[in-house]
Amino acid sequence: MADNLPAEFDVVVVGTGLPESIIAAACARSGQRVLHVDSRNYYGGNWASFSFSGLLSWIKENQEKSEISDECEDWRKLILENEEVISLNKKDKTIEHVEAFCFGDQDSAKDVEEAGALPKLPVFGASGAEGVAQDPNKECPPLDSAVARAESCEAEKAASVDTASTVEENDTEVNCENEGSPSVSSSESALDLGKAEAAPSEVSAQEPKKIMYSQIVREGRRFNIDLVSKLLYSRGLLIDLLIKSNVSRYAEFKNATRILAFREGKVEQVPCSRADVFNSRQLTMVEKRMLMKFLTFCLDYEQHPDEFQDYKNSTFAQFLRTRKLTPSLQHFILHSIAMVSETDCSTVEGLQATRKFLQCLGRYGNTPFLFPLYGQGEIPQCFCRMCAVFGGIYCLRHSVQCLVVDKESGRCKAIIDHFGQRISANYFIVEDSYLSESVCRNVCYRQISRAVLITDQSVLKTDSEQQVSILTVPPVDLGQPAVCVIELCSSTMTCMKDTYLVHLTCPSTKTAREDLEPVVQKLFHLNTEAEKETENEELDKPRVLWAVYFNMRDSSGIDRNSYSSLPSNVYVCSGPDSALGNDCAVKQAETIFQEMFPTEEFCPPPPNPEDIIYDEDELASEESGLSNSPETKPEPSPEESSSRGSTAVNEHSEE
Amino acid sequence: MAKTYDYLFKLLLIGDSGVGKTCLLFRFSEDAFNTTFISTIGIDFKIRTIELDGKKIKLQIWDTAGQERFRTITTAYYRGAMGIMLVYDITNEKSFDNIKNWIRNIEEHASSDVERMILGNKCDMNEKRQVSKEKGEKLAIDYGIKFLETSAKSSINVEEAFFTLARDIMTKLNRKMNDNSSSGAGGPVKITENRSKKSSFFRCTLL
Repeated sequence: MADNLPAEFDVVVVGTGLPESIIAAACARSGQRVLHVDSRNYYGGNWASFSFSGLLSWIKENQEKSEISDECEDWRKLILENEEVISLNKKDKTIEHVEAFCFGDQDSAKDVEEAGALPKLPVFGASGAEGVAQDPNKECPPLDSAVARAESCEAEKAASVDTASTVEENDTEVNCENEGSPSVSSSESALDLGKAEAAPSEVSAQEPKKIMYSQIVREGRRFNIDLVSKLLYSRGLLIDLLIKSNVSRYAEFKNATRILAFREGKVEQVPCSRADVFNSRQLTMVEKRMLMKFLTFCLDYEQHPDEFQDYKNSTFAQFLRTRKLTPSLQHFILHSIAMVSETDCSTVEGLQATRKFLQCLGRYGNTPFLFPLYGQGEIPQCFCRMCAVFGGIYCLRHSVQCLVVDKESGRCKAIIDHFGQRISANYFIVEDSYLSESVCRNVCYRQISRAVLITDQSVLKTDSEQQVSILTVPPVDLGQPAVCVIELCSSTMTCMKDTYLVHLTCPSTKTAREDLEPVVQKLFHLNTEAEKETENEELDKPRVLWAVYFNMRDSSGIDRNSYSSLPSNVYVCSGPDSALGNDCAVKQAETIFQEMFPTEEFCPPPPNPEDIIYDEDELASEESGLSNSPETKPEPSPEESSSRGSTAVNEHSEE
Repeated sequence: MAKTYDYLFKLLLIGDSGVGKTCLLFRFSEDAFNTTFISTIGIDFKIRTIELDGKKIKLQIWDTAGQERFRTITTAYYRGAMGIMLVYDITNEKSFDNIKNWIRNIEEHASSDVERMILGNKCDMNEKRQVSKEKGEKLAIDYGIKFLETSAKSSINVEEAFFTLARDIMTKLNRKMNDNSSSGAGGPVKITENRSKKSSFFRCTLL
């Protein structure tokens, strides 16, 4: 980091989670000089996604709870007499009870390293190669990288090329860089090349391929493992904001393809769209009619108060029992569509939740949800890019020692960073985890229980292995939280081919493992290879290859006044909440932005890059360097800015 | 909406601060040059449509938004890129040495079959040269990628560079097309406001 930062900004944002990143983008967009820092070496904080090796380092870091001693206090001399300091945390304490498990041949993987990042790779141990050799049905034999580059990624061209002549196909593109061209070392390529030639397009239709731990390690960069597991409601606030701000141009999404339910020990698909209900084989004609009638009612339940008036004080579950629905339909509606608690959710809340679900159907697909390609961790980064485009300055691995507060006014004047540089600003945004215990001593935090599994099959197999599924597993004991399970396939670019990434989430009652392992045991096969032969009835369950459990602090919904002695121009952003959607983060960002800049518009569409015309005078006026000057850019008319969508692959043709 | 092009290629510019990425971008997209940018502000990407083999190709060229300065380029920047220009400054040895680091970055975050090219920019400033042309060529050969010395200021080789990269992408594309892809189900979704369907699902009467 050669050059020093400017000493003055309008807004300093500490933490690169979703709400902080949205605020940073909004501020830069409205012309503020923004400094955005994170003490970690990656974007996103607890909203980040990691490659497999990245996640292993994260686990290690969070299992070692070493305290960093604050040896250097040199910065104290920068504090004037009429100032006081609020120290910030040196060490993140939001992650607890991290437990990782490998089910399989971990020993054989000890010599294997993640491929791809380094030009020279170590030669893999024999055991690593064995994993491949044992597997004659391997669908995509590793080819020499040049060959692979030329031949086996053909589908990728569709991903990034907008072919005008094939308009109809724009929406059926497949990104398969992780399917066709596994990065392998040259030594192993040579080893496998012969086989590749012998059977160039051997496709296994029979057995699911055995994925070894060594393969997961080697293909580690194919994984983008989210710390938080969320989906975007297609009519949720985040989608609206992405569209309005044009940040959507930085990301691509995939539809969740299935809503699943877990009932009587079995995973079933929930018919929720009109087409699904029609085509469902599991529902009888009578059930189809009941379900359609009920869902149609939910869409405009407010117009029919007489239908639910008498049940206003009952739970939604009780209300459903009165609606002539079979038990399986009641289960589907309660757990998989409304996704509400059986015991605490009132009738009106349940109707609202059902309506929200139904209203989101059909905007982008047959379920209400979208998932960002490459993981949820992309989303905060997309807002950071927007902030940078409008002059925001980014520093990762950059800690803040303290906030400097003026004793008289009680306002924060500056931060002092880990280089001892004093940086002043008018407003400060700090993510909750950076606040020290003394500031948070009266804050009562909830916890989120999380598990991430890498599995070898889907929880519900169908013709297509590329499914994105959401499954709600109702609690065993009433009053416990339901567990939300999201299963991602490799085309979401979050896991390697022939594996699935399964995220489990619930509000914590105990440690993550205690909360979630019972559900994992119900849905998956946990035993290792050796024990597998003994039991046959378990064979159709997906096998867990690797798992991690952890608890994450839920700092959402905390009243500002709970924090002690917070200066009025310091705003606190919370970490991820346990809800499925992202509304909480977007709402918080907008609220904070409006408090700081009540007259400014929140994330208006940026000018279309194609419309920005630079002439000499304007360029000269930007010479002031790091100050941004969006006023030099002409605002396009709304039509112009909205027409931008056509430069990327889009799907109007679907209509 | 009728499209005015046959293909859209997403290209990236990567390299240290001050090597002239934005100047190259402006030279190519606007045929203009200005020395007054200090860092890149407000420029997401620029567009220029070129013609290759009778096909109209819209080049969407993305700039780093200044995030190269502290090595904080977002992974989202690399996603979906089909071609990357790695730029160094021939009057700045450090920027040349860093090309290796940028290549590593690309390997980590960009798609594995992205086309790459190395550009030694500012070749009009021969009197201040620190990196010989041979050195640049050698590095390019080591990585098996193409190389050109350019000057955004004097408009040397800028057209050639972008046309070469576009042609290489095109060649790769044609080869893949001939191999024929049978893409599977549900590809990625780009969200834009015109995408939403008008009809709610349950409006029609049925059953």
